[in-house]
Amino acid sequence: MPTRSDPIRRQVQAQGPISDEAFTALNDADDALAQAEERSRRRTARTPERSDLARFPLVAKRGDH
Amino acid sequence: MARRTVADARRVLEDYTPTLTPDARKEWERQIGSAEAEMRDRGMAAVDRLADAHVPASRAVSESLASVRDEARTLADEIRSGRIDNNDAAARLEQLRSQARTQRTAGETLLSKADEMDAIEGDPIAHAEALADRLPAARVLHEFTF
Repeated sequence: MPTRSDPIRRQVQAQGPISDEAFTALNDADDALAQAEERSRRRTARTPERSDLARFPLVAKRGDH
Repeated sequence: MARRTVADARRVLEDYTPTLTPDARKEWERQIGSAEAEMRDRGMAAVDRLADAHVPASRAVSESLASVRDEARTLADEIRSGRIDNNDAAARLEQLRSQARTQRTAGETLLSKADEMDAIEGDPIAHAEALADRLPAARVLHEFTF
């Protein structure tokens, strides 16, 4: 027998898969970020001088003169 | 005239039944029936109010979750292609995760509202009386001649 709460229950039921997809997408983005950070760390490790200059632009500017 | 709850009026009717004339009993039952009809109307009005508030809210939760999903997918693409700074990405990711958790909790709350609506709709009088037992302030008094 239909009840007034049916539309709410239908929405909540539909939210299960959407919520799973949302958390999967978030974890995916999390993994992508971890990889991006790892790439960034590796770049820094390969070229420490350049990265230091990048972090301190005023020092880098002085070095140009 | 006495102001009583329907449950109280039923108890009085039961206590006095042996001494009541058939006509008096019929009249008391009529008054109780009328008070019960009022309680049913109040119950259905409460269900209407709950539906008005929570049906749109349940749609909003679905939309918000879908939005988090889509934004998280876009964010993952932006991170992979280097179109977003890592610090900005981390902040955005935390924001989206928090939004997803909030919406998931809201979905659970909506289910409890749906249960409440079913309980009222199923038996508005029993629900109102159970509520009055827990919260005396929620007692609804009706006018009876007995």
